[in-house]
Amino acid sequence: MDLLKNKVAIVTGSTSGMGKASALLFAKEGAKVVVVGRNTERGENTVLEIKQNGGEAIFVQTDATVEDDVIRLIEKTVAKYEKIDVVFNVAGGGQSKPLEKNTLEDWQKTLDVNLITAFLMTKHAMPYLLESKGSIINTSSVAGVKPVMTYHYAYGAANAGVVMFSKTLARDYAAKGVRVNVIAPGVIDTPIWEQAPKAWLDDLVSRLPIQRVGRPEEIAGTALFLAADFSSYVTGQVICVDGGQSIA
Amino acid sequence: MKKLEGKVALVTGAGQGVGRGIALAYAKEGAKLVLPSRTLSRVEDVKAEIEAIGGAAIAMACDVGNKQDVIATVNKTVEQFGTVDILVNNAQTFVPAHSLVDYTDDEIELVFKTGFMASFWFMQQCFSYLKENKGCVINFGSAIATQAFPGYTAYGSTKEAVRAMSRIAAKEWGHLGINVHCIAPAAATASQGRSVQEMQQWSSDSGTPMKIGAPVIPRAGRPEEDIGRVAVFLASEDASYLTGYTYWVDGGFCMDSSR
Repeated sequence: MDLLKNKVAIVTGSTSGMGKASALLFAKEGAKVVVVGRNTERGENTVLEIKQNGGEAIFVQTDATVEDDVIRLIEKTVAKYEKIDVVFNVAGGGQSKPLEKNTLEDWQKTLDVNLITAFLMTKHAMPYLLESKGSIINTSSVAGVKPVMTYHYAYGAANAGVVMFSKTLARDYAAKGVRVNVIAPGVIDTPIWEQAPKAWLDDLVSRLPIQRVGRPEEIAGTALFLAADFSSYVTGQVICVDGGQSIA
Repeated sequence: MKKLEGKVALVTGAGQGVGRGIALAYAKEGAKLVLPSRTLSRVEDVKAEIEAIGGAAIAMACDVGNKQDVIATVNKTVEQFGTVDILVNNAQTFVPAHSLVDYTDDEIELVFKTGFMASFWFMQQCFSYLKENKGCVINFGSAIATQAFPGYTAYGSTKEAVRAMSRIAAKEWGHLGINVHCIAPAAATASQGRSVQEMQQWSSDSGTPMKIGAPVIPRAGRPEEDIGRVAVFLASEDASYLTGYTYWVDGGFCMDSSR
């Protein structure tokens, strides 16, 4: 299928996990993909995999919390591909600590990685998205939608911030042709969960309507929907890809 | 490969509007369509449209507010196509907008029966097939309910009941592989046009203040491209880890509604 034929898509955090799966799927659907992350080896591997599957991609090593890096990323994208149609901001991450152990530095780091990255990418890509009438997809978390996880104070706050940032953008930019939506992943089978105790994870999964963790490809499937014209009349929405975890 | 290749999709109320839009979008993605409707001639027209693009469809006379009709429809579907993979409970009878105090019992019952009971009966009848195929159900909600439009006691309440049933079914059936979704659409259809007119008339006659917002995407929704293709996504493999939620496909009219 060619749902993203001739489109240019930037996917942050695409050196692994959900971002990588999405980059692969976007390329399979005809997009030229800009793979973004801090780890060059993994980034180049993602590009290689895309090319081996007959797709087109480049890797731009970027720390999306650094404004100069983001500016450079946008410049390189436009220099190579002349436009930007889709920005999928996946980069994020969290830590959990009891309140008394939360430091200002922890909070700044969590806000930077989850919320500031979305802001910087959106701000600098927007002029091009306005030209192409493109689509922005930001990533929140089930923790940004409801208070699921103990000790996730900064992470929950930052991800809730992503939701409201995105909805406000959606309201302001709809008439100008740019759609903005959010994916809130639940428990997805990626490295971020490797630290979690197995018993806790098993218990969580047993409470889900869909009784298993999600696959990175399942995040990619929703991202594809939001990037493509299939979602032409959808904006300002939060799609919880979490096996029904957020039903209530 | 087409996203719904070979799937059997039963779409109620497909004679016009959103139902027809979904049926056409499904046919384009390779699904076989079953089109039950009170007005056979309308769904026969849609069947012809589907066949003209190389698709397959059966049109059936069915009053979704009649339980025996619903049972017969599902039986005929299974006879002709062997099973059901996707159930889309789009059909809904409307009554004109009234003040809550002016609604008759019959009006409330009619709207509830054709909206909630119809969805409930179809879900019961299709369950064993959906379980076998790990299929899905798409029910309908509305911004009219969550944004509380005056004049819509019957319709709004019915749609919220459908959404509650959908969430419960999602939790009951998640472990069986059946995903249950709701779409809350806003599209330029004859019934939407009538509703808006009636509402404005009633608002002015009754002196009830009513200011309706607008979608932030400044155009009306297109039944096939804007709504139909979302229904394709929800019925496809791409939505395999989604269940129990309502999708507001309304140009951003609702950005703060419940899940």
